[in-house]
Amino acid sequence: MINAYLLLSFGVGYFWFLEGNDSINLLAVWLIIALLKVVMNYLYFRATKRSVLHFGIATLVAIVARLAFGVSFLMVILSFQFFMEFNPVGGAIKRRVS
Amino acid sequence: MISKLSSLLEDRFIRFSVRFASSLIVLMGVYQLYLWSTAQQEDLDWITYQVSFLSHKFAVLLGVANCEFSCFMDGCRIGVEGKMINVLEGCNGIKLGFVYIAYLIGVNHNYRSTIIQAVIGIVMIQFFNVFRIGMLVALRDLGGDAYFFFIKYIFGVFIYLSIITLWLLKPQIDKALDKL
Repeated sequence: MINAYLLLSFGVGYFWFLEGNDSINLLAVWLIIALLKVVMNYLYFRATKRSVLHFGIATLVAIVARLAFGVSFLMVILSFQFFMEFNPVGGAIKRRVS
Repeated sequence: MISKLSSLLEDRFIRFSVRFASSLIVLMGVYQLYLWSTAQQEDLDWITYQVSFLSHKFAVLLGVANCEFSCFMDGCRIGVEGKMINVLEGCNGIKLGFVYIAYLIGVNHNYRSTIIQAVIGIVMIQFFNVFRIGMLVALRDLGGDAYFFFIKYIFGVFIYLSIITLWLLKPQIDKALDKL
């Protein structure tokens, strides 16, 4: 996930570069970055065989936290993923059967 | 309907989500109120000021000569004249701390352990944050592209890794706290 975040950061840097060149506008950059983050998050949940409900709730909480309070989207997603993978109290959450 | 709802709430993931989201909302709500009250007094918030102050001390410790420090309503400026960096409210790391605390509340049922780990977490996150800003002042002073590379990639990952480390160490911290 951290590697994915780094790759994403490089991609984000490129989009800001385009915005600086007036090639695309600020809203387009913001939307592309937001979409990229959600897609990468979805790919992570697919790869770890989590359900759509898990993905939906985690993404919804992260989007609300980001838009309403400016909290890091990735940190909220990481909290959910960490809970599902290594829940220190009750053990990891069961994966879906593919 | 009610039985369906109660069975849904028994799901560990849903329970965690509700506890996590509600604690994050409460913490952020209190913080926003605090920011609003400091803005009413036309003052800078205490957390941003302290983080900036300690970062300035750390930068001086790193050997940044003529390192200046000044604060305004919107944040602080640290560094050598002409190469100063802005430390705004969003740079104080407290929001990451709130996510960490919300996670603890989401998984923990032991209030004593949650409070102690929240304090440890906030101190550790702020330690990394002060280290990060102090280093940025030093890198800005040195010049070159290293400053932009570190601010964009390295330090963000550092802070995230510090939180992940705390999560990984949580079972050990729980055990140590149980023995006390």
